[in-house]
Amino acid sequence: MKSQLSLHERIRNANASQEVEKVKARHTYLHGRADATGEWADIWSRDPNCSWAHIFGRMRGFDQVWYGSVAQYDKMSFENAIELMNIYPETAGKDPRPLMEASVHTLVTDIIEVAEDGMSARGSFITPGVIHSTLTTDQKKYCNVLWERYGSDFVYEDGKWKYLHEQVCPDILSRMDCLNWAAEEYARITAPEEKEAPPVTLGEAPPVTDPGPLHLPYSVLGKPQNTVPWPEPYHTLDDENTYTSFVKPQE
Amino acid sequence: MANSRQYTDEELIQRVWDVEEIKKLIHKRVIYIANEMRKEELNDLWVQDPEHKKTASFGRNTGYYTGMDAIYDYYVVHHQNEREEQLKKLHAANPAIADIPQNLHIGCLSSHPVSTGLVELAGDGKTAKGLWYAIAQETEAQPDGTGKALWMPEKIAVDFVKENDDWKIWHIVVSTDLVSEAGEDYSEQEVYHNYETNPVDVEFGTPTIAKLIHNTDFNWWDNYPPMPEAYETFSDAVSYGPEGYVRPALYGLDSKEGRNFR
Repeated sequence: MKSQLSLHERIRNANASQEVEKVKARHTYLHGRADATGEWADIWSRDPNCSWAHIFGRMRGFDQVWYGSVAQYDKMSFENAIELMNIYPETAGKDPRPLMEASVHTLVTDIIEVAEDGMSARGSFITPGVIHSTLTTDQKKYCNVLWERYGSDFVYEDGKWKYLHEQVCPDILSRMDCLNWAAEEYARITAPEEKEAPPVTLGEAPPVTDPGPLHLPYSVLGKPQNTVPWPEPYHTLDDENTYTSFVKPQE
Repeated sequence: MANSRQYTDEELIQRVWDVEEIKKLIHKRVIYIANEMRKEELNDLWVQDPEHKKTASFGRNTGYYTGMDAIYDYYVVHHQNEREEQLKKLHAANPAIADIPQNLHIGCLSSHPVSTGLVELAGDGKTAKGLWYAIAQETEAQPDGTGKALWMPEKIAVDFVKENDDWKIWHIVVSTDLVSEAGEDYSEQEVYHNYETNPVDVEFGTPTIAKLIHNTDFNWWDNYPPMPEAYETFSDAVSYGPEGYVRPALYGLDSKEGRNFR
């Protein structure tokens, strides 16, 4: 698409692209400390159209996203911390959230498009990340590798760039350097008693509006899924240009 | 907050340009490291202004080297000595590898590719702060002819300052989260961080300011180095140098403490 933007608009959008990069990176570093409050209170829009999606489906609306991504996530870290204090008393009194794990979704391969109207931006990313923790309830440290794709929409609100939509698409997950995701998947689907077992997800799914699965991790029986294609140049955020349709499936 | 300021188009494109220049600078550092060009890195990418050189710092989890002279001794001279020792051992085990300067760094490859860049340019445009994450690896030849490959994911936090229109590295903190040998099960390592055997800590030695600034036993709980936030002008309070380090409030107990309760 040939850009019709003026020089002023191009400068504005070049700056916006960098600002969106920063919002996305802030997500990574906040999530690395399991600081869900920091993410959803500071860098997310509270627009009723905001959404967050993973394998299990899509949460829609800020309250549903907050419940699933903050309240339930914090609960998990608090339960971990209570158990941890019995084994490692020195953890008492420390913020329980980062004690759970450092989930570091590094960002590469970003393709960011800022709308011609300058009021939204869309980005696709790949995250070849690591998830590690030292003091754990089974008294073994761990480091996993997790590769995912992201499709992210951002909006410009009150002079700041904020997240509006996020779709997370896990592709591979395994323990760093001692297991093999392809072999694990083959073992899963060929184990007679596990044949119908669903793929690994994030455990118990939170309430969602759009049920999943929306994207499946690697399988020896699966094909690559272009669930969050890169954004194309666009004029304004609408149903043709979004990672979450503004129309709910049941409507 | 810097991002609340209104900039003219000319000011704004200069700011966009500066951020891209800073990204290139930190990417070049990655290549310098991969090419074993530490001396050139300090000469080309780091501060040259005498006042900035005095206050430059290089931090890791166990403290900071301060001043370019101390940084040079650690980062270039000590490293060179280690590499010369390594070559002597390689030569002793395999005389076909001659102990000559041209063979220095044989069997060594260090890659610290950065991702997840977060650059905050000061409102006044004179300094900038950046944070990156690298899933890094360092590989070294061993005297028995094998190689030892280590994964070392790390945060890299940097203060930049503009000198004569060029961006330069002023303070850096390379905070390694873990070290794990490639192909080995990391979960089989002893649980607590071992400062006596961890290769990053051993290599860093005893810095100018020796103190634990990031305890990996508690994951990222201590939040050091922190994300850069928008700021108007540089001050000690926002520095990634030792003057900007703040121990977490209510630190409580340290690793392995509090066990005698039975």
